[in-house]
Amino acid sequence: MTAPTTPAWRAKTWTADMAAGTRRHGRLRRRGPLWYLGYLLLLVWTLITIVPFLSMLLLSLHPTADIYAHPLGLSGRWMLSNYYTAWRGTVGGAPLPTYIGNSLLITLCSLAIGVTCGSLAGYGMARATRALSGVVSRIMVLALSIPLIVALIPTFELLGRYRLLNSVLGISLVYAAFMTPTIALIMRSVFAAVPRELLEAAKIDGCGEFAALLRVVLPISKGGFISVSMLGLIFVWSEVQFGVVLLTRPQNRTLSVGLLSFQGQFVSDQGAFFAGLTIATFPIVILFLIFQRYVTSGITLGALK
Amino acid sequence: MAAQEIPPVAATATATARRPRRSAQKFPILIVAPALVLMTLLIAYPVAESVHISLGSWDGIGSVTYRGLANYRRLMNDSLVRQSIVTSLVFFVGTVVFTVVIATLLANAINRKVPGARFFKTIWFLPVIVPVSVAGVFWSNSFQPSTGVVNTVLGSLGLGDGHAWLASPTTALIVTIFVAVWTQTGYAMLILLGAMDTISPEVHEAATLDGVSEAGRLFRITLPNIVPMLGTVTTLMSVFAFNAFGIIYAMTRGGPGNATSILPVLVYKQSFVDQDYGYGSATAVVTTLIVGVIGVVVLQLFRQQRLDAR
Repeated sequence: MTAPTTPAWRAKTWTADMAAGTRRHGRLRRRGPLWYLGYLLLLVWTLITIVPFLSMLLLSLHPTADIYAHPLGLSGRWMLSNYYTAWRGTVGGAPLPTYIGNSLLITLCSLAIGVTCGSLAGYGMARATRALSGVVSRIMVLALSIPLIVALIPTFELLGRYRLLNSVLGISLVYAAFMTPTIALIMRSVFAAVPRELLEAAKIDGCGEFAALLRVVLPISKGGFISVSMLGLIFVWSEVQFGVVLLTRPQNRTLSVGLLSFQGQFVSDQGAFFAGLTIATFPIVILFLIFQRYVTSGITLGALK
Repeated sequence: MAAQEIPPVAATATATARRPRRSAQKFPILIVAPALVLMTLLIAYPVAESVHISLGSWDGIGSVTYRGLANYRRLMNDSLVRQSIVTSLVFFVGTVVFTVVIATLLANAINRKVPGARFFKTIWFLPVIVPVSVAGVFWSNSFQPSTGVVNTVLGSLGLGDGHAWLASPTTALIVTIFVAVWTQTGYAMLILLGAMDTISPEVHEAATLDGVSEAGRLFRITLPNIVPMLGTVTTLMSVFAFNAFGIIYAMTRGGPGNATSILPVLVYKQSFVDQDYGYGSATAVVTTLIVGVIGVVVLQLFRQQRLDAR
């Protein structure tokens, strides 16, 4: 990724640039062999990231025998029936649609709780004095840096005590609690960007604090809500550690937990195996491509204190 | 911040300004409360209760029998625990080093606007949103000896197609590290990119005019400017690496033998397979302490660096 830095080259760039009088130095940058080597490595990493998605999709369209014969999935007989098999077959005790339904329900429920609590806290932090805001944000950061494994056994005990194992509410509360610190920190930055004048105008119009929050602040913070909802969705869709322990009955499991028994189940039917993985992966990939801007800004905001 | 809400008239007299400020505190406290209650119940309480359970024995039903430090004494002499700590550290160092280095290079490429930067940014992030169990079962399928795509590719390159990657202790750990890096790098990349984008383009332009090469600018401009964020990312990736239960469980269930049993997997086995919750809790508490020490060391390391850069 370097360019040769001989004095001659430097002088040339300089004069060319001065003559052109532009600020487009990037166009004039010379690319040495190292730059091309670096770019090649970027392409290799691109292949490593994208090939699983393509291969999942391609292999899901072939019968198992053809997959063994052509593991790259580029030739052989093409068919869609793997999707039917994967959709109807039971995986680890329940059919795929059950897992997807559970995942959707748990995602909605935990987002409702987590986004409400988290964004209220974020608004509180944005409006509190610096001292109070600092204390709360330190609590949030601390909660984020605890390895969650330490909470696993007592959570299992706690939910068991209140008969919330294998229930949508139980695991949604747990997931909501885990996503709350992230949401609060992101939403604090979002709310801090709301102009003070708007709040003051709302107060002059006779709005109380809550009315101002609902009618003025929420509508202009829509982007922030999409960001944290997407991040929450990605977290819940993927979570396994607590799901395995808190959802013991197959018919209550989330997609991510159900998929753990996928390989054993479809060991002889590779086509259905890849069709199932595709069903689990692509909806969320498409959703991400639609809302990419919000996911990106959410992650950046969350990290910048 | 509340000071700004005080009407300009009151701001002239500090004595009257104090009072509205204090009452203005009620509303923030009120709306922060639900989050704190939720986190107290489902994060703080379980963490504290974990310490309680670790000091006794509990079979999953009934109450905890107090046993003092018995579990911790047992931990010290348990070769499985010692092996798991070593495995976790190898997994942690491997994952974090590769993730942060690759993520820095990728973010730098996007920040320097290589051809196709926008496309790369989307593609490189995709693994982050894949459910870890999908990533786990997909890659473990790909690394199977006779049917997996990895061996097919290696075979066509003349590198042999018979490796039983997940059956050998060493390669199994390497493969799980690879998959962990695959799933985390995009996340670290985005955070670092956010930090790099705050560096003014003029600085890079000036350096280009002075003939500083791309690599030179990475080391002399970009890296010194993102040192604090590198610290944050490294800490975050360390927590991720110590939480990588999903990948390992999906790929190897901790095997072969216990070769890939990082601490969370061991805790799971001790508690939910052996029903020895007290002992599992003790291992979990030790895990937390290790993560805490690593976090402090990492942050300290990067704080030092920032001072040096000044």
